[in-house]
Amino acid sequence: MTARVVFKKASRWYGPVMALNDVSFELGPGVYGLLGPNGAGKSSLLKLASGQLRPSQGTVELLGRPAFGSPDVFHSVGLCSDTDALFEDFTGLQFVSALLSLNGFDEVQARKLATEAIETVDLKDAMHRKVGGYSKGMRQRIKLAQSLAHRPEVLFLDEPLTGMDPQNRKRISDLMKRLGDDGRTVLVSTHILHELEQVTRRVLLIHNGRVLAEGDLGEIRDLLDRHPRSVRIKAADTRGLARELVSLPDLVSLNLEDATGHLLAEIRKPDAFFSKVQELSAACGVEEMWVTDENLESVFSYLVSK
Amino acid sequence: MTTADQALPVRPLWPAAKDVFFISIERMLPRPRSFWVFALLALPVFFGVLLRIYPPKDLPLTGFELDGIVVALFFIRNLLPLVALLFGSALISDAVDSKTLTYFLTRPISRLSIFLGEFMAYLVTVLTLTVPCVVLTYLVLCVGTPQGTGFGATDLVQDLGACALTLFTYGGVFALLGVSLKRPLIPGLLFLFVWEGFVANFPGDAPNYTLTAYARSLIRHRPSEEGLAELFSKFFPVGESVLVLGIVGVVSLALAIWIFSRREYVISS
Amino acid sequence: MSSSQIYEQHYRRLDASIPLRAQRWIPIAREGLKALVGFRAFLGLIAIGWLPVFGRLVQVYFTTRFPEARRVVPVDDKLFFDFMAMQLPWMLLMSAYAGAGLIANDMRTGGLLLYLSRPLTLVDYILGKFSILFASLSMVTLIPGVVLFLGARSLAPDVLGDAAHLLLLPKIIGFSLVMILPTIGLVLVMSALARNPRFAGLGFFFVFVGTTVAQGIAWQATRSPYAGLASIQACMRRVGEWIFQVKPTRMTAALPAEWALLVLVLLALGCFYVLKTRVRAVEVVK
Repeated sequence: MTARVVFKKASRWYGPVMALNDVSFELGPGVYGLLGPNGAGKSSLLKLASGQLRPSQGTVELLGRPAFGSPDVFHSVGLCSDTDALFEDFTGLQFVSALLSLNGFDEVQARKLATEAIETVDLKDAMHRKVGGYSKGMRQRIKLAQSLAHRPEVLFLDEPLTGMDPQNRKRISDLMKRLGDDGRTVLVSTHILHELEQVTRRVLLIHNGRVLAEGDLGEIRDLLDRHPRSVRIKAADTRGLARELVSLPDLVSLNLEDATGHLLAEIRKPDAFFSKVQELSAACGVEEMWVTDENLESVFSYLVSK
Repeated sequence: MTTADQALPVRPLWPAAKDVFFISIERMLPRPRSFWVFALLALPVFFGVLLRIYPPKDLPLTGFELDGIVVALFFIRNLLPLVALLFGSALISDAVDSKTLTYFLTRPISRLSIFLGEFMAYLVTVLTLTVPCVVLTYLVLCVGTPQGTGFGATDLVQDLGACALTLFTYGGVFALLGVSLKRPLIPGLLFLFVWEGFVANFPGDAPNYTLTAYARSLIRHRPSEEGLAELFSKFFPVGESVLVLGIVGVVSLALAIWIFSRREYVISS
Repeated sequence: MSSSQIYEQHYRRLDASIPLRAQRWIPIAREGLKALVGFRAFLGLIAIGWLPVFGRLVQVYFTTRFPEARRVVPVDDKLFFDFMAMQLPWMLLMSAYAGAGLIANDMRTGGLLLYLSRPLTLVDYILGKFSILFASLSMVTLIPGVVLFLGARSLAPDVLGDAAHLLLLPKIIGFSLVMILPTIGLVLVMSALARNPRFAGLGFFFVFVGTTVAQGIAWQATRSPYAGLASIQACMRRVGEWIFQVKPTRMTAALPAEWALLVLVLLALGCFYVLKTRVRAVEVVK
């Protein structure tokens, strides 16, 4: 993996307040979700990664160069910040073209790339209107357009889905996925967990300025052995199935839900449990089985809960 | 798409500064604040027109002398430093306040080119607002009137040069204030009205330490009427004035650039 | 034992309105002042604004010890007028500092809607902001003036102790109001017109300085005392000269004080009219 974003023991203080504490990770191509509650340090992390802030300790590298004070790397970096700031008197097209001109594109190229980026975020109809008159979702999309118009290798997206309607959220989520599949590094900070889950399984969980976990969502979940996995099973003969399962050594609890008739199991070793259920599926009429807490929201709440 | 191995260098200084300039001028010049500043700078023109329409009996001054007073007192001493404070202190802090500085800081351009582009936009904006007012004041007060006899175009050009240099120097000083302080307004006003206002009229060498004393020395067609000496207490040779104002402007700009290049801007929602 | 229900009232519509409480502007004023007092620069400006009081008191004390000095620096109405007139520039700085962001910040951040979503009217809002400035500016004009008067009276009872000199008190209050009220109007208008406090503060100075310089030029050109009407500062000074009955300056000597006062009154009224039309928002409670 070619690491494009590298944090090595990076810390950042704002006066006496510690925003990030001894953070280390590496990001290669693909989409990564940056998750954490408010005040966890997500924005500080993105600001350090995008070279807007200098680490108080440790190093932050972007494309092999120190992120702070290396403007050359921004040929290949795009940032969609969380601030609702635009050049209000510019039209959408002017706004994106002007910023492309700062990347060194001539007027014709800038206009062409800007139009393409605006089309990508589905704002073509509004591109000749002043951005000051855009709705919140449109403002978010034009910010996104400027961040990807120069086709950067690394994209930092801070809350990119904020204010968008479901249709556009889906569109932008698909776009992020495409960019990741295309070999770009996309670091997305968001609170909309279920939509991030559609885009990536790779996450960076941050809380109180520390990275709590990093990697594939399933792998992270496996490491959370303090929290047994919850499995829900729908079967014709739930009582018979329960009788068989109760002897499993790694079963923590087993309950029968009165309202639905489903069997609810808490287990420590899912593989052995799933094999056993598989064996019994014909005899007990197992119709459906699903893990209820392997989603991002559950993992996230397990990690940040004390 | 580029890769890390084929990394492109930072864009050259001047092309990048030019691109910043075009963005900044668009955001600086066609704004309501520019309109109001222009309206205030145009007051002498309005006043001159009134004088032409309703000329008072026994005018104590010639148009030539009145124009000298307007340029020295209205423009150089009072309004242009305020214009420089308004636009100069806002060079970077305006982008910080509007949270748009991030767009410049995350592009492959050096901070030097950002600052120079912004400063060029400042100069073009303030000159666009000032030059027509100075020229029109001259035309209204001097051309075609008996009072205008003896007044040459050379003086007008010198006046314009003096205005430009004043705007450059004060612009540099207030740009320095703007990047150094979070709230540059009160220190800027104190500098203009306490330091510059009083010290420039002190006796002895005290005026040597004010910018306004050098700036007003550039207005050569000052009137010789009694009572005006108090407005022009100490004069320096033109060469010395240009040199001092130029050096102060350049040094202030260099310091401002140095601070801007090193400073972090925490811009958050 | 069972019972049959005959009537039950779960909910009754109240056909009345809750009256607005009186002095609704007080919380705005109180919170605004609290916020200002939290800034060291604000306290510093006030502290410096009080230095001349001590200077003048030393002057008065000096004249009590050396009565012959009264021929050069007399303790009379002019001393108080000069003191008040010298406070004007400091009052302008205070206005720019304390007043520039009062409305501009609310309009920029949407705070205005928060205010007006409470049982407050637009007039309450403006009155609240007005009070913040009134209190701030009084701290460098009215209050120091009164303190100077009381201090001087106790230091030099032989000169200021008689009943006739008690008239100085309303004169100080009157001149303070002449300086404060139009200034508040102007700075609030600037704050309402510009969304950025820096531009509001500078715009306010532009108007003050621009009109004063314009007056200077007009006077140079015409030697007409009516040129003073172009300058807010000159009008304030002329009214002050009239209130304290001191000799006017050369530039304003023949300017009728009533005209100057009229200009200031019109300015203040105009400012409050602009304020009311500018600060537009939905008034939740009428």
